[in-house]
Amino acid sequence: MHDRETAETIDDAASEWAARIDRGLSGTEQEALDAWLAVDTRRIGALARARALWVHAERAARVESEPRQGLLNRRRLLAGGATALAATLAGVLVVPRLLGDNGELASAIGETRRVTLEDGSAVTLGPGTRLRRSFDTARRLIELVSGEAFFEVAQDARRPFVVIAGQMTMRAIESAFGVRAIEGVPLSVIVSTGKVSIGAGGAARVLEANMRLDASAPGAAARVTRLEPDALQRSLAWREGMLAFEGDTLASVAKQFDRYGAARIVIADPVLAREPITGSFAANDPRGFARAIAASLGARVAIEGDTIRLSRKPAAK
Amino acid sequence: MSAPSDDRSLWLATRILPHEPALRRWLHGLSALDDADVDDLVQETYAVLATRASVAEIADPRAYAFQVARSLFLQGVRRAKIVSIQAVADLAELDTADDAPSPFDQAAGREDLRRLAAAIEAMPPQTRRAFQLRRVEGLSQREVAAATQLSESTVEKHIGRGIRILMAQFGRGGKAGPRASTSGERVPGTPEPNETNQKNATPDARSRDSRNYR
Repeated sequence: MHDRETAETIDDAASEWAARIDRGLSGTEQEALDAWLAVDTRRIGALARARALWVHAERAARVESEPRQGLLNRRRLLAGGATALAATLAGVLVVPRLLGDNGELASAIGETRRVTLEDGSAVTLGPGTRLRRSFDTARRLIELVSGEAFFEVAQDARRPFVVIAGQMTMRAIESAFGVRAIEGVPLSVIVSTGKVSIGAGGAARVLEANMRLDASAPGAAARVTRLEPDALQRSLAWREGMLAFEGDTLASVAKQFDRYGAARIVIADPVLAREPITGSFAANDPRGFARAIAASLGARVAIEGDTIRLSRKPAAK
Repeated sequence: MSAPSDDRSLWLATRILPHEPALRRWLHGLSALDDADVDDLVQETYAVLATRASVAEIADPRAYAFQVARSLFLQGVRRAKIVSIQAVADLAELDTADDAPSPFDQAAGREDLRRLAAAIEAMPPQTRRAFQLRRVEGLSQREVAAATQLSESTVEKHIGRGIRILMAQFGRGGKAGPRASTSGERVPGTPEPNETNQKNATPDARSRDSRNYR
């Protein structure tokens, strides 16, 4: 035992072998490696560890080289201060971007499109939507950067389908669900079939078919509502170019019309902006929508080029 | 015996490496094992994990790694390879091994990425350059040689040296460099608070779990 090779010495040799393996071994080298490994099991372990670190290093290097990439943006996550959330996501976050950098999907303003992914799942992108996908052998990971998307998840028990949007993580279990992550509008998830497990701020809950979850201000509890089948269809009607609302505020409704690019709706009055809106409207006809709303709310509508201005009628004196 | 496959290396990188610091801390807590003993045990643990026919059925890699290390430790005690009087006295300590991944350790996985990135940053310039061209830009060693006007064998040496730096930085719990305190440092040998209770289906794991909930 006196001359037992130290772990350090083994590590020295293992790192050299890892570098040689990386450039490819000749036949003689392969034999030499086998002979080297055969002497002490610790050598096998050291080489395995060296190779694991080599793989690991690629990921670390990528993290540093792409500090602004949302998927691996630790700074943003940590800035949230939510350790529990960070822990929840950590398992996801350490997933390497193994597929390289072609994982981005986007739709233009006013465009709605459905894309079939390599695993057979399909995603429908609402207008002005950006998402990033990163699939590997362990996970199918999608980050909804902004916009709205509907996921039809193909079953694969060994590779969970995970969607990250804002502070939420959604894990799909053979399901179809829509996620809306539009700036200025509370994040919402609607499950059409199957189940989705939703994690936020360390807590997790399961959303079943015909349920809708609306995130609220940080710290406040999310709201879960059960939708009647027709209400569910309306909520997902954007896929067919319709916008449907169930008591959403006029301000958030206006934002959703903006994404179709036909015109911009400006609401000049804060009270009016909070009016709840219910109904279905053609997404590409904001003028028609504004007129209908003006009529029902007793508001005034002024159209100037691509800007539609809604304001309250002056109170009768 | 041949080198571990790429698949296995990836599995080790994603499932085991993040827990290595915790494993080392735990081993250190056992009968005051010194660095060399811990290094040996860690290498042997990796050897077992690397040479298993399949890892697909390992539901909880962390718990499994702890289990392997524990049984290797016990073998060592039996063979008197790692002997200390305390070792026998401290066998009870083994039962307090925490098998459940704590949020701390999961966060540590991310922390590890940061530490590795810092280690790459701190490499000597030529080594770092070769390392980055190979790992970040994805050039082959031959292409790195062409890009840097170095010989291929020099590039290979830089790559090897870079890997060696990572092994040292990562292994000794960051003794080779600064270690962030955010990764859940704790007193060796004390169980971490378990947030989750992942069963590993062995009676051992279960009895240890229950102790953690005392």
